[in-house]
Amino acid sequence: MAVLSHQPSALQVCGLRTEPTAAIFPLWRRLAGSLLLVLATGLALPCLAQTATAAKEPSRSLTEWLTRMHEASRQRAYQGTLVVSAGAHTSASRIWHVCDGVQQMERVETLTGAPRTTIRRDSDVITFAPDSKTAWVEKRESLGLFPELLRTASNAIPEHYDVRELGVDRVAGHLADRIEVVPRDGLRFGYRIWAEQKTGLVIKMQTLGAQGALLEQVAFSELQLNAPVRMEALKRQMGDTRGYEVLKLTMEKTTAEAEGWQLKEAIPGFASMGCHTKSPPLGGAEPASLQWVFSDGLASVSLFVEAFDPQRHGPEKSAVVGATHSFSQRLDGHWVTALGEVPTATLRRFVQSLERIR
Amino acid sequence: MLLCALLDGELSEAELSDWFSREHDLSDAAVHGQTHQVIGDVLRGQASLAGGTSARVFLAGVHARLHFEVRAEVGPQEVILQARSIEVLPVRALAANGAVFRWKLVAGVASLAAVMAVSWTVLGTTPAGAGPGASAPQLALSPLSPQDTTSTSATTPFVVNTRQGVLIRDAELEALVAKHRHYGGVSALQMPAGFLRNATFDADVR
Repeated sequence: MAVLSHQPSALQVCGLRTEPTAAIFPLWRRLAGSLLLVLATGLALPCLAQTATAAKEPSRSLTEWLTRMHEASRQRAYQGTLVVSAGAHTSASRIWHVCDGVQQMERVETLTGAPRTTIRRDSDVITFAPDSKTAWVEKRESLGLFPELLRTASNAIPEHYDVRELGVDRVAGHLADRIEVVPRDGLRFGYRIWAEQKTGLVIKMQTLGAQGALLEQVAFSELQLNAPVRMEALKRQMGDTRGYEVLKLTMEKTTAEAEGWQLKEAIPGFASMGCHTKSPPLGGAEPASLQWVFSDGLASVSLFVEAFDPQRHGPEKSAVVGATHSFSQRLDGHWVTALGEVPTATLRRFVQSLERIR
Repeated sequence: MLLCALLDGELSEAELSDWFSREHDLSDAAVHGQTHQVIGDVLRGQASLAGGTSARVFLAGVHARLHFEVRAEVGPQEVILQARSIEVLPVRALAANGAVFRWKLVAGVASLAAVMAVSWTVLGTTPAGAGPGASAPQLALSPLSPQDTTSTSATTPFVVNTRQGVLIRDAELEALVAKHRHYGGVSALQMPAGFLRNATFDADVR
């Protein structure tokens, strides 16, 4: 034993390589050390990065970010080109936006697909279709809900979404803060938002599915802030319906209970925002008689209920376009379609939770 | 004088052809040309009498370039032969410790460890999804969660792009989408992004 224990040190001193046990043992020891070092480095770096990310507190809360984005559009005039892309499908429009401190006006002129010009003054919206010489006039009350809703105690958005600040990017020639709105559960999608650094104006937004998959993107390809947009000119264009057939889109407000419907089980985070019936057709068909709207503050879901028609309806089906998903299922003598910017699983829960109470 | 006219761009084509057909002492012509250039610079107040590239140097450069290009056109085989001869040469000289087996062993194991460490890191961070790694493109990942798997088979896109434009596979669903965007767009992101998105997107769907 004494001889064996003496041999390695003697050979090391001599620098000989003829004895394998003597030469390889320290080599393996060094090798194991290197291996551990590499593995430790590989594992430690992401851990450190995650710790750093987790430890970095956002400079603004989610509510503050959303309020800032809202205020930006209420206090700025701008014009630009907006591109909406979902998969292989891309739409684009030219935007003019102006405000006078009291009113906001906006003109959206499509550059792709059918020519349409939409002009909005606060919640009042008119859409011109030059090809059919038709103009739809409507009032969208949902446009006035925010940001007042953000300031109330009923604002539950932070309970279901978290916010992360991801640094600064350059979008359409402007420096923008990049933030990520991360859902706290699998019932809703996430959002990645680029807000112009000085004003907070949203210049790019992505809707993200599971695993961060990109479902839809809305982005300005070109944006001019403080553009010379004249409100008087937009007002004049909005009121000029000469040569157009004007259709007024109205909806009859009701309640789900009054129509004989309720949810057996509430879907976490989603609150009822309104219910209406007998709205005129928008797409040429009139398949639904009831629309019940839910929202968690960022995502919205519409539940459509109509009489079951074996000629038109069959087994359950689901569909998707961009971030908008739909799920349809027969419920006794009715055909129920849930539709919104949420995962199909959430829509399925809505449909399966709906029940007839009379 | 003809040379001056040539430099000033005032020589007609016929006069130019006549001038080239005659024999000239090019060195004299070059001297005359340089003199003309210097006089012009002085008159324009841009004199750089000693500076600039002399006409001789410039001409020498042109000749050298012409000579090179002519050689390149005439001798492609020579170039190929040169390339082949280069291929014969060893690409890299052997490392000083190349003959020592244990260094090869060390290099192999270290490479394996590095690959394992990187793979471990990548596999460990990908499931985070919404983390920093999520900003990278993930084209191969399904957008549906495991809960959605049951409905994946029935999920179909109902907007298709064709040469004639966008076609809707399901007109009733199209109407519902339009209604949802008009009356159901209740979101803090609706203003301004949501409204603009709907107004832009609806035109194609409607």
